Amino acid sequence: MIGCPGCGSRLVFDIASQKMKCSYCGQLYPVAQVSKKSRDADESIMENNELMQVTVFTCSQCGAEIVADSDEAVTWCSYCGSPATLQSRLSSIRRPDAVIPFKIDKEECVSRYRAIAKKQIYAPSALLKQGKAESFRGIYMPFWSYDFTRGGAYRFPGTKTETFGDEQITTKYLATGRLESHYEGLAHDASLSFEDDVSEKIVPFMQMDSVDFDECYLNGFYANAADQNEQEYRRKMLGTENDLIIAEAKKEFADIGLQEREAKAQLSDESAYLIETKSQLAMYPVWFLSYRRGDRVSYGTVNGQTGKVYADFPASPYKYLLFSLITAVPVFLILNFLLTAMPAFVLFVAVTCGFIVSTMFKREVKELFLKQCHISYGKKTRNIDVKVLIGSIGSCIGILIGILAYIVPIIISGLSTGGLSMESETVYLIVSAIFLLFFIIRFFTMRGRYMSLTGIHLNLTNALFIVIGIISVVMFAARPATDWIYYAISFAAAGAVAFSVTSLIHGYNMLSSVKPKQFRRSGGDDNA
Amino acid sequence: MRKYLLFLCVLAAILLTGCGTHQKPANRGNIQISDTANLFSYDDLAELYVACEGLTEYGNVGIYTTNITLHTKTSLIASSTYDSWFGTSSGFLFVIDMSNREIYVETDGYIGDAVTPAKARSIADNVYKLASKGDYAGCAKKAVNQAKDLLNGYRIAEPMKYASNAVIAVLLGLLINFIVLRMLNRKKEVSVKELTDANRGSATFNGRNVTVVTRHVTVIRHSGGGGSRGGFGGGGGHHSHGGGHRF
Repeated sequence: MIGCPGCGSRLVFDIASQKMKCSYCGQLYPVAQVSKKSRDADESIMENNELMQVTVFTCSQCGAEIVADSDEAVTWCSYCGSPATLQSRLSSIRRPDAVIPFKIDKEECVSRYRAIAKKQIYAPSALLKQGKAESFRGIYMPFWSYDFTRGGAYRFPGTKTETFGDEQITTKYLATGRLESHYEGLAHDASLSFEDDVSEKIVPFMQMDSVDFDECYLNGFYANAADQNEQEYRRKMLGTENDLIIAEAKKEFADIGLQEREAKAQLSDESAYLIETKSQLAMYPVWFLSYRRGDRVSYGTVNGQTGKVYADFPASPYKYLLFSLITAVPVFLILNFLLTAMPAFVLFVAVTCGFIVSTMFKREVKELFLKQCHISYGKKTRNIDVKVLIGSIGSCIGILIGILAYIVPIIISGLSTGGLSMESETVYLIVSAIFLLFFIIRFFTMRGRYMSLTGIHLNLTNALFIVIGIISVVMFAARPATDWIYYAISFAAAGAVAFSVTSLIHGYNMLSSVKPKQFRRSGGDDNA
Repeated sequence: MRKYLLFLCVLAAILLTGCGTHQKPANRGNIQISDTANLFSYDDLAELYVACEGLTEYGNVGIYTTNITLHTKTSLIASSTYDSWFGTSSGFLFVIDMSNREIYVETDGYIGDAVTPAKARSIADNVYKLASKGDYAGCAKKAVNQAKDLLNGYRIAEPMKYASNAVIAVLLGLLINFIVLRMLNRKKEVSVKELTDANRGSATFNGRNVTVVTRHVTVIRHSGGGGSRGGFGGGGGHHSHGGGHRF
């Protein structure tokens, strides 16, 4: 504990003044002044300046570790939200090299979070209630900050096409010269407890506020110790630096139509360009909120320097259904003005909705898979599993065929009858058969590794769609005259679609939460 | 912007044309009943004439039954029969097609304004059960009476419409809300600009030397475009609309 030079009470870092403030007398002291006195007085300071002694609190429920002032009463775990007793121990951790102090205070953090939270109409009430946002905690997160220096000859190709009158001239260029670049402060979080998905959304931190590390900045806040070495993210951040260089290159070589992919491939060759890599451990400020549901946790985080908010809001199935029913009322009224649908059309709509939900669910499951692999959906990364990429392309083709399946038979039907008609069972039969084919393909292609992600939801949903598809095809082929058969099947199909939507919500909630890595650590209590 | 305005104008013109209303005919219409499928008794025919009488003040009224297999849709049979019987004048035609086992309501003109295709479908849906039971005369009579109700400003029961729309509305409600949910929680990736602003550094491309490797010239041939030619067709039929139901 760092004491007040005046009254001896605890000093904490005051965000508003960016000075140390006495929690009792309110006196303000510059950080440098307090730091010097503290160093002179503190006998516990280690001779080796690379290490520092801290009190580490370990959550007895999830096993997460957090660093706090030894006097600070830690009453609940920031990572799993459990009001558990945390065991403390003195430990030596690597002393960070730099720190960016908190600039956004809790009040500002809460107001920024609330501005986003108030739009979340589907979020569980427990997450939105007034007191929840107050449980934000200021935590210094460890980040590896990389500086890269590059130099070397470049050979960037470019292609430009111009049209002059009746002539189209395509010119291929080759730009040569010497690249020199230096970027500082490309940061990646160094803590296993801090999910990469979350940390990557609240960066960047402005390097201009970075100062040499001093323990004073940590007073009054929590901190997390680094448990990943600097080599872990070096290559990834080199890729980020590549993006920055390419952005510059695009501006520089706009006149020759720089071929980005080739330029990027060249820069990926480390041996040709990389001169120097420096890394330092830095502590960056993050306001942190956790919301636990079962074994999964959703996080709300606010960048403590820039105020950038990243928050995951799971959806409450009850709220979702309620809003769906509320939405259905105006839709019903509008439909009554526009449409007098035959019962067969209702079944056709249900099958179509099934196809849409199935496509969404497939995308969601893949997103979940990519999240597990720490790859953003749609982001072109070299590490993307080829099968996943092929699957995504297949999905796009599927949607295209689905749209064509809707349009082509309608046009054919229109041409044969002399007018476009949506009420032909032949059209419904063709389209439903195509959808059924998709359902069957999906059932067999989405098994295996995706199964473990969503459990029974995936198989059950796909199986339901196959049943709906088969029944629809039979119905449209048999063309029963009585309405009630259509209605019975339509209601059943609508029920199946509604069930599938709950699977979608389940998948969405998995996407907007994580099973903290520390739950999987030995010592963490999975049943907590 | 111009294209957008033009599109809006065309759309408005189409809508206005579609919403055009017809004048109530000055003279009473004719009644025409052709029972080629032999579905009606003499008593049925007499009752049907009486029922149709009430509708003639709005236009022509026809009932047509057929059992000839023409491999033609009932809607086409109804449309061609309407054309040959009533041309483009206001009218109501009820068709019982025994070969397709389908009933169909075809309307046009002043009657068509009240008995729209949607209402025609509702009428067909309200009466098809009688046809299923073999009460063809009762079926036709009820269809005529429901059309009369609509023309007299009354409402007819449309359980099919409301049940269908309720199911579709719930399905759309579920989908719309899921899309809204995903949109509300869309996460933006960190942009290169954000990173450039936050981090210190720069990249310079010294000694830039650009050489032309190849230059390829393509002459664009403007195709003449196939002008379309076409003659005027024969006289058009009535602007048919209607709705049917199998039984």
